[in-house]
Amino acid sequence: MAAGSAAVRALAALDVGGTADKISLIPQDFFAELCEQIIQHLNHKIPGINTAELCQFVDMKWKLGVAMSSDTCRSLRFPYVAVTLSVADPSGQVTDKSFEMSIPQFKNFFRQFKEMAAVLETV
Amino acid sequence: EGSKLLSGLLSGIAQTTYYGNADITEELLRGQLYPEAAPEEFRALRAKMGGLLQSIASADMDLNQLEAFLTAQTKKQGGITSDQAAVIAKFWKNHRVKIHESLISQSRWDNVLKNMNWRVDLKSQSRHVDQINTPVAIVEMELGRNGKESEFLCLEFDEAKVSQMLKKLSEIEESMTVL
Repeated sequence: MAAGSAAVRALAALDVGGTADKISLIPQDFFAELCEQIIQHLNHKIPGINTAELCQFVDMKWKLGVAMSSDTCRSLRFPYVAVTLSVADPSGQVTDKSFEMSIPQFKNFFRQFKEMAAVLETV
Repeated sequence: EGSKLLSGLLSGIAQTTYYGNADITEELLRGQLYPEAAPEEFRALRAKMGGLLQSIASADMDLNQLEAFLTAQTKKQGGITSDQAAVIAKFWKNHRVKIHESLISQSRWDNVLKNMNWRVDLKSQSRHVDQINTPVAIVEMELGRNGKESEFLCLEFDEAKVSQMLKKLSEIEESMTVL
């Protein structure tokens, strides 16, 4: 017991930025998920994020389209969401990045942002 | 027996034409399925069946359209037998969705969102005056197109930017009700 609390005190002494307090604000299962990702990254199982290339989200344009036909298929009838993100790179220069999503992909995209909002609110 | 062979032929045709499997050559199919057939004879059969499958796939025929189409083919000069029609119908029922998805995929040559990961960081803004800790979401998007290497986009979103994004995404979802 004594050894245990000495360890806790030693760790607490290292906690200069009040990190422990911040961590306690994060939902437990989400924190566990984050730790798992960090471990995987350290074990070279997943790529990390290069913050030198981090861009700021500026704005988004969108359109909803339906691909009707193509040279290989006269009856495609494929709905999709086309998006153009305006992003500012670390130097401040704004560029456009465009991509498309199928409807299921869009729904997943939307769901992820809702989850993000929920987590941001909690922290 | 003839049905199984035709079914095999249709699978082989689908492999090259729709599933991108270049290994299934005409020679391979002939050797495996109709080894006794003369090459020109087999080529004609393959072309005929391939043509029918292409018509069916291009129109993405539903069961009614398929039945009408195949019935017409059985009545034509140099058309197909009703046994062959049955085999083709069964094949299309089993492969329709996958073939259609493959045709869609072939037509999407612009950037597609392949994957998305995100995490939330606590950003420390000032060490000296106030410990204002802003949470930010770091999002990594993998954008790619057919046959090219993916491009990774890393974006930072604070709470306000996520709200801005959500508002736009809601607009998109609303517009989807007309689909």
